Amino acid sequence: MADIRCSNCQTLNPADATLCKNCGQPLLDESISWLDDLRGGSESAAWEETETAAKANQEAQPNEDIPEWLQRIRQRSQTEPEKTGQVSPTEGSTENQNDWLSNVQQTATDSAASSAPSADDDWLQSLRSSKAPVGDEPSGTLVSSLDRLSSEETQADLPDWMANLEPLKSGAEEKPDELLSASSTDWASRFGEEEPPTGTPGAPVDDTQDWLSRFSQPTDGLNSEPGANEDWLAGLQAATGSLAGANDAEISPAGEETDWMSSLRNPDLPGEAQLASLKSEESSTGEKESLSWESELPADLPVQEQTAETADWLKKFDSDEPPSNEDQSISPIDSERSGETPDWLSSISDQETEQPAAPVEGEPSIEPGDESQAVPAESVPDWLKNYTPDEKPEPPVEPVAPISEEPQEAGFSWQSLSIPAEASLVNNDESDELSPFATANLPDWLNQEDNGSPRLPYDEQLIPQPDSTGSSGGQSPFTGSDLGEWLDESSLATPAIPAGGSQPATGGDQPLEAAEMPTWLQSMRPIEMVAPKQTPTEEKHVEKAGPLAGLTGVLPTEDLVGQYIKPPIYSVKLRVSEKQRVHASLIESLISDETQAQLIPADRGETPRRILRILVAVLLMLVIILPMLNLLPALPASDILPQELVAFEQIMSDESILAQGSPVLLAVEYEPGLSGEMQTASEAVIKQLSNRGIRLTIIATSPTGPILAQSLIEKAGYQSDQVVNLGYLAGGSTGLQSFSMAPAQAAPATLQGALASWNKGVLAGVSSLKDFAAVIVLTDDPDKGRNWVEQVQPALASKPLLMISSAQAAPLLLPYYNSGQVKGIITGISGAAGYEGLIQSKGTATLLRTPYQYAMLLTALLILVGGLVSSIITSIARGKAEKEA
Amino acid sequence: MQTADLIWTIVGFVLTLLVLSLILGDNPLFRLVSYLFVGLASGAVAVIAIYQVIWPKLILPILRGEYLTLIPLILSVLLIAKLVPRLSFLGNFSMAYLVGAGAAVAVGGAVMGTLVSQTNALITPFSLKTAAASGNLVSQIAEGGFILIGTLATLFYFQFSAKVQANQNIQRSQFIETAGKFGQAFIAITFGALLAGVFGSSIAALVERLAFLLTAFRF
Repeated sequence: MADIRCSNCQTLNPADATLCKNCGQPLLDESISWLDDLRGGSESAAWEETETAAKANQEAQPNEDIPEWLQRIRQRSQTEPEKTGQVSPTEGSTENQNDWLSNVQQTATDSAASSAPSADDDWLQSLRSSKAPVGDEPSGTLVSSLDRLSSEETQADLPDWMANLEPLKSGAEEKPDELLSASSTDWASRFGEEEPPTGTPGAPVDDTQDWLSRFSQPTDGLNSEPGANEDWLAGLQAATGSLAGANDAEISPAGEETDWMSSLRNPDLPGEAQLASLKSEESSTGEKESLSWESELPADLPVQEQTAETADWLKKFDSDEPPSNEDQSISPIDSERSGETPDWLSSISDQETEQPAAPVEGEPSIEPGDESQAVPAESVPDWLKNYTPDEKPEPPVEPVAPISEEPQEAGFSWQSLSIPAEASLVNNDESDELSPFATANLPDWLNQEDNGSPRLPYDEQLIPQPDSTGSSGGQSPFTGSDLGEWLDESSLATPAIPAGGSQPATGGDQPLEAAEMPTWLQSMRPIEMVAPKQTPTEEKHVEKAGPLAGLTGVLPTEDLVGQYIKPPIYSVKLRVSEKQRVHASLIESLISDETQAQLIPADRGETPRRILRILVAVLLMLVIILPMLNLLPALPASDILPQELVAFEQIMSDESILAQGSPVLLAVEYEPGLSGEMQTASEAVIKQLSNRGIRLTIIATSPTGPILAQSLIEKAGYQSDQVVNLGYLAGGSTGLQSFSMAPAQAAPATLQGALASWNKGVLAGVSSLKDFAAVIVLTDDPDKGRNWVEQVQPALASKPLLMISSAQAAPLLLPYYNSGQVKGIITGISGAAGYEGLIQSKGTATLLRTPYQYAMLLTALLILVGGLVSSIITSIARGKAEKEA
Repeated sequence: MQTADLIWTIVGFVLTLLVLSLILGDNPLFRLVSYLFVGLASGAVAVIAIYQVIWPKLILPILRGEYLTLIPLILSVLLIAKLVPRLSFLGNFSMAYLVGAGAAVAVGGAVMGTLVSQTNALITPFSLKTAAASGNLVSQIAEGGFILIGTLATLFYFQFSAKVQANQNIQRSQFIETAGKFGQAFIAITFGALLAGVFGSSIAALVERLAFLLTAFRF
């Protein structure tokens, strides 16, 4: 298959391509696919190449895009040669040709008036040539295009149905004379019969399948009895006669001739002259050598036999038309069967019936000036009225029988109406305008075509199905009258190539008019074809290196610059409320303070502070040492003792509570750092207990407690047999809880590692905490004192819990005294001194009380002085800052 | 004085002077005494823990056939796994047991030993029976009232919730503000007493040490 040229970018595409590789435009327009078959045989025009590809697609998928009726047409067109060969096997190669094809070939040959063999067997080309406007294009141009198309059809790229015609075409080239006379399809053979310009005696029709042969016989009869012809057939003969160069002066009565038939008798003058010369030569060579195929047919073949394989509707034609020349009528469409005629056709028939049939006298010669006189004005259709006689002289109307008088076949199809159009091919240009299907009598769908309004090609109502019984079904269903103007224009758009060197006499040098797509077809085109597309530049890129070098458009390259799209700009502005803004500013200020480098103030006060620290230390030492050295007078002891201290002394002095030799539990819960204070504070109590023979059991919840307790006992001069050191009680509050519930299990061993002898020795009579006469807790930590209160005190029942605390723990333990949980508290050196005063003993606490009081007084003074100085300095600095500000 | 006492008195005297060297600033002598103190304390604690806890309370019962003690032994061993990060999860159960048991004991003791008892102590001064027994009803009620006001004022000070009103700053009510001011005063007094106790303890230690220095070699 040939490449398909894109109608948009003119790029050649593979035959199987559906889209243009260059522009992506669809190569097949489905909306006009039904028309593609009509153009299948020609490749001259650019659009035809595109449609060829479309047709190739249709061939690949025959059942998808092609309507059913068109498929049947194709099938018949393919099978037609075979049938022809079976019917007339004696005719040789030319007999295999389709009738219509040979007719077209003959028509083209006649139009070109060339003796060179023409390969034009394309009926479509004939149609195009006939559809060419008379006023715009000379007939010579059409003939040349026919020749060109004929030469192009010899190429291999033909559609299937056209490919089937190739043998026929080749035969036509070899024997042009035989081609014209060969068995053609019936409808086209009518032209073949009409070709003999002279009244050739009616040769026996051998190819009876040609329904058109029915017209040949009357045509022959027209020579003898011209007046008996029907109108339209007379027009055909008139046209043929004019093409044969008959004398134009003779004008047969044309009053009954239909206008479109009369157009057939309006040949183009140059073509007519050539045809006339050709006919004259043919006449001189005799009937055997004439272009008419009837001369080659055996005369003895009966007509009925010849029409045995003809389609039914064609047979009816044959039956209605007697083969003898005596029958003056050409079997016109019978008025009785006019009821089966389509409306639009019946209108034509009506117009024709109004015209009286006029006998043709002698050679059909048409005088242009007489036609207007012969045809009444009321019988002229509107579309013909619009035709101005000034453009082309009308040929004389030849009397033919009206169409209405012809017997219509029951299976009459619209294809039969293409005969005048086919005939108009011979008459070239003018027949196009004078076609009876032009405007007035055309059906609606054809009128729409002219109006350019798009419509679907598969309208079954508008396009009747071809008769399945007719042999002409394989022929082209569209004649020149059915084809749109675009078809001719497209063909004309292609540069005319003279076929076989034969150049038509007229208009061969004139440039072809540019192709113009009809408006209705334009409207049917898909939007993708109409809409402007960017031609992808990447496919035009030619690979310059690598294995793909030289190939175009293999690797898609992108036009990055062209495809660059500026990214959309999104607003990043946040919608922040006023509150959020305040919060953000606050956070920002906080962060800014942290991120900013802080100025390190000069350490200008290190030396004064050191001096101050030494000075304070020296003052404290002096204040402490001087009273020790009796250099300072002793301060008087306070007469007011704390209540907890008094309560402590009362319990200690209460014999009912702490009887002689009673067991007392002593908990040492202070750290070594405060051992000096605690030992001083507890010294008097320990001595008192020792003096009273109290059995002392020592336990501690701090690891260093047992050691400090041991030191305390030794310093107090406590007897060792009166003391048992249970050591360290692990677990803190949990251990105390366990010890309060089961002291023997919680503290099974002594500090020395020996098992504690509960209920023995020092612990005699002690199995629980309530067996102790009192529990004395020595602590410098308020938490440890609270644990004893919380965990152990409830287990003591009514036994007193006494505490000796440091000065720092006393404020937090006093509430437990107020609650009654702790029966008495001795606080620090001052409390111990007071306790010694109560028990009227002078111990270490009394000795240290004066230095302690001096030191505490000095400390208080230093705190006050320091506070005042600090406030003064701060106020001064603030005042300076305010002044500077 | 025995020789041992003399040696330990000299050691104590020297160490006390080294500690007092801090008056001149941070110095190696002070650090030496500090490290020595920490080392001795840690050693003493380890010895005490082994001889006072592990051996008599953990190993010895097992040796005696009290295999129930294996449970605390296992828990103790698992608690050692906390030293190894990979095996630290093994000590979670021991930690859970310790924390759970300690929290339970602490909460129970705090509720029954502190809250209930302190609440009763707050009410007691207003008891006519107790007041009559004391013989000074007015002073006792006044004392009880002062303690009550101080307690409530301190609690109001730690009241940080307030009603939110439109277009107004979040502020506690005036009553709570005023009571909070009183509570703040009570808190300040308490902190002052604590600070004074800390100063008293420190001065007591200094006095004791200076007295030791003066009397150490007094034969």
